[in-house]
Amino acid sequence: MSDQVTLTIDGKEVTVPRGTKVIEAAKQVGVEIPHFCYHPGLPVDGNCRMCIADVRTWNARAEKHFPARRPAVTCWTDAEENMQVFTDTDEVKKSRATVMEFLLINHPIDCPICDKAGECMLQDHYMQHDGKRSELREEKIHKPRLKPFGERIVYNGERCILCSRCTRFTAHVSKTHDLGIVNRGDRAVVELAQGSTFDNAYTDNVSDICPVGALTKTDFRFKKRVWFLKHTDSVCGGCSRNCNTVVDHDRAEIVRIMPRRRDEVNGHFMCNEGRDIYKSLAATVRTSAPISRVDELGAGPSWDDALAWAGGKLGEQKKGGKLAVIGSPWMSNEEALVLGHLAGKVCKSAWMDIKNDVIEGYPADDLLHTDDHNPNRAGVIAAGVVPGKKDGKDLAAIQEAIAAGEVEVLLVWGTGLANHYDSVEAMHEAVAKVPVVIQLTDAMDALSEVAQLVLPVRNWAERDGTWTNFEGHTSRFRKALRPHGQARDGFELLSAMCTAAGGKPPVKTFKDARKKLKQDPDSDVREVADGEFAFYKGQSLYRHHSGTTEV
Amino acid sequence: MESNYPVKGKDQVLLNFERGTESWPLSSYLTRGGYSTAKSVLSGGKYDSPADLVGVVKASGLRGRGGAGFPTGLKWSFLPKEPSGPIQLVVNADESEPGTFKDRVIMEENPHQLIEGCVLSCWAIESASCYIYIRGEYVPAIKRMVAAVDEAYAAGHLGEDIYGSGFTCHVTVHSGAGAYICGEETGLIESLEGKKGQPRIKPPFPAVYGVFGYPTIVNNVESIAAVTYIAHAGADSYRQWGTEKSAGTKLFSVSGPVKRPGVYEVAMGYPFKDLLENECGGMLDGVALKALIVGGSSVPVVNAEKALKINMDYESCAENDTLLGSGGVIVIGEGTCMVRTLMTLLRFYHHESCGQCTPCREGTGWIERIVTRIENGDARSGDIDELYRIADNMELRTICTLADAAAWPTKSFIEVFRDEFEAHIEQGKCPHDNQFPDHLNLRGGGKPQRHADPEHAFIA
Ligand SMILES: Cc1cc2nc3c(=O)[nH]c(=O)nc-3n(C[C@H](O)[C@H](O)[C@H](O)COP(=O)(O)O)c2cc1C
Ligand code: SF4
Ligand code: SF4
Ligand code: SF4
Repeated sequence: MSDQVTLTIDGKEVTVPRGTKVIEAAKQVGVEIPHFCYHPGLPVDGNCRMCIADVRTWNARAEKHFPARRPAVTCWTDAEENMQVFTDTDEVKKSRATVMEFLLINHPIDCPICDKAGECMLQDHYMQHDGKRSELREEKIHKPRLKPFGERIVYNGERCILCSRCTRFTAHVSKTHDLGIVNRGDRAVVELAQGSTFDNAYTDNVSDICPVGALTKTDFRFKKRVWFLKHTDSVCGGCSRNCNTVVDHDRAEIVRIMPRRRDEVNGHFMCNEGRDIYKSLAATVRTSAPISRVDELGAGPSWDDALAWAGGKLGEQKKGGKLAVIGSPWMSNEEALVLGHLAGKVCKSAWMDIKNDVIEGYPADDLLHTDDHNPNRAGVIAAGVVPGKKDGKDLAAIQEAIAAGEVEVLLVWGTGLANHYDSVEAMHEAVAKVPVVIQLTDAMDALSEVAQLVLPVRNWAERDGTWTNFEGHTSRFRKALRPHGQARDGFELLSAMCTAAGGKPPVKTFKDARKKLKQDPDSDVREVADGEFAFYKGQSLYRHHSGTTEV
Repeated sequence: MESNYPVKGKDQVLLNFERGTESWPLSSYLTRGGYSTAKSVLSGGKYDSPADLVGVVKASGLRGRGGAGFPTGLKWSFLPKEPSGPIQLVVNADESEPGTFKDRVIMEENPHQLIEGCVLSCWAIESASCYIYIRGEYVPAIKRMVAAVDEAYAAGHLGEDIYGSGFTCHVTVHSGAGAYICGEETGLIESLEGKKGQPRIKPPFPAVYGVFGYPTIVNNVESIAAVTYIAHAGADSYRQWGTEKSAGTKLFSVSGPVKRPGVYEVAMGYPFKDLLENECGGMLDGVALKALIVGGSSVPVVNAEKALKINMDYESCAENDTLLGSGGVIVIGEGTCMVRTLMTLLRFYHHESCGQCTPCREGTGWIERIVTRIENGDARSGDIDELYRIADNMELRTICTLADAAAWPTKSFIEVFRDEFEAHIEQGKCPHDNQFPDHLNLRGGGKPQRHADPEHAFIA
């Protein structure tokens, strides 16, 4: 038996691996089959009945196609050789309208006050597949409407369409088993398991995957109508997983962060810490212009003067001088490429390493979160900021050299140098021995209080770049917010520094940098449509037995 | 024709005991030749191989008695040739369909025949373990089955190495908690595994992926009990009763305004008219037959005229626009409000829907509410068609057939008794004043006629 099958979907031929569900095969030829309960990152449940299509299997003996005895749900039906699928017949359309009607008879239709409005699957499908006014004379069924599930999620039983996505998430993805559906028939509701406080690291995902507004986030409730939001593809820097995200914002500030599907990185989900990262971003203290503690520049130098001075200091170190460069795992790959070039080529050779900017966060788990609370250690090293590249001097050795007064110019990217000392005072005492300390940073920290020159750069939400996660997958983040004050783009600033130091930048444009880094061309894909999802591959797709026997 | 169907007597397939006597202990069963078949089969003297016995069951024409009428031997042959784990037998004793109460008679009065059937079936499908899943409300049946299983273990008819044959068979009696949906085979399996009883999406079917993920055969109590006879007497003997497509005998549980409601074993193909007149002693005095639900509450209703044409077999029921189902014969007498009857049935389906599939979860409640409005005289003329339309929309769109089981009676009640629905709407009230007739004695209102000579008195 071949492991590929060829079938037609609405007359379009498609070849897929055996075992692919029809609904996924259809995606490959651009046919989106409407559904509610199906989610490619969850085991199939097949309860909503929306994805029913006319599926005809080929009977080789009879040399004929046969329709299914009971109409098939395409989320659960395997694509078969020579199968014919029709998703657009009158019968199929009627079936969808029927399901919509059933879903709506007890639905409160309170879209005007629902946070999901605008991104609600029920609303979307209503427009497409039913569109009728509700003529129901029967009293609707009432259920609890304001039920907290832990501190981050609020449940509205009347909006719930009992698709079981949330319960499947807690059962099979987070494996925390917090949610279950209790009671039967139209009395069924989602309930928090007895004793559960629903405070695990992944709770907010249930709100994202809820097709309706039944699970809203306390963090987002009544904050913004989604159609007023701008959406920018981004990447979470909360740990070295680099979950791909969408940042929802209004150019000035971020309102929420949502996961973006990237099969080989984060699958479909992200952790709560990553969602909250915009809050710490908003809370950082920043400078809107360069700050200097050098007499010849004055306290508030212009960018030109500051750059010329910094370039001069670095240029002086060209001939085997005493220059140390401490990069950051928060730099983009493109920035690291230029910094590595500046340290290694323009200034001939400098001591270099990467510090640990962030040392606190969620612990590592076996779902997504890693134990490195910085996004891009792997990428920065690969792009050229190689620890101990010169004389094998790594950060500890550089710290010794600083203490011994051997370092004349210290170039630091980002925050957190004090993490490598016993205390802030100890760090201050050490760097006081370095005549020139230049910090390029998107946030002020203890080093900014003493550095000779602080140059503001844009943070991840304000610039374009790529990060590479601990497994070597590169992801692209894009500029969402207006930059703070005069903060400059790191790639462009470092390139200018190469020139100011009397050298040449390694590449001319951002695009060239990506080319030079031989980046994975998939790194800005929005969605991979092959129906595979890296993190859940090991588990049974069949919901009933994930724990015991695998099918 | 009289001799073509067993009515009373020891040679009956299932009710092969003197009714009203202590027929359930092992000692009584042994006097009826109990366990002799198991002994000869397990010793290898009767059939060359398990496949042989499967062949005999196939040849007997036995069709599943749980409702769908699927050929039992054929079902058994769907087990994978190279099973992924130990094969399981599950006996479906959830019997919760309104109108159906035939399995309980087997379990309460002839439990050892079921156990012997389990041993024989396990031998045939090469399984060493069998679960009997009994509905929670059947306390007497559970007690009898547990006692009988204990007896069978003590006497060496169950357990390891039965009769020194090397064959092992364990039987576990499991009590449900009283949910109709746990009678649907995969809902039952989920429940048996300790989960919420919700049918699984198929495929895979239980024969491939059943209890605990193992290949599983689910059969009705009556099907398995009949295997004992078939293994004993052979396919031809079983086929002496019934028709080509509906072989053997079948239990019918008759309820309603008949003189002797109860459970009767008759040959398939036996005319309903005879069942009503002979076994049930006819309708109660002064009550005429109005309608019939022949196979349990899920099958389409027929009017009296059609009812009297029905023979109790699959083909004849189909010819008369209904289904034999599980053999729960609900006789409806003149004077019964059909709208109220439907309302009562729909309350059941609304209550019992497991709630996973959208059309069933929302639809069962919706049609119940509409019928209730009609019954209460609070309806418009369009409501009948609306009701029909919604029921129609529920059909064929769900994981299991509970939604269909609610839709079929609804549609047939409207088709056959539309005038009564219209009368409710025209009069703006129930012509029967929201009452069932006295002869049903449901509300304790009027004076019921006594049932003469009840066929069964159930004792715990
Ligand atoms: C809603 C529903 C309820 C059912 N209840 C029962 C039941 O109580 N007993 C039973 O034997 N079969 C019941 N069935 C049928 C079973 O799913 C299954 O077909 C049967 O147990 C197979 O046994 P058989 O082949 O011996 O008939 C039910 C089916 C449905 C859809
Ligand atoms: S809360 Fe949302 S995700 Fe959960 S069952 Fe209801 S509709 Fe589905
Ligand atoms: S797992 Fe890591 S990268 Fe993903 S959202 Fe959480 S903190 Fe961010
Ligand atoms: S049809 Fe009804 S009872 Fe059957 S699985 Fe669906 S919701 Fe449950």
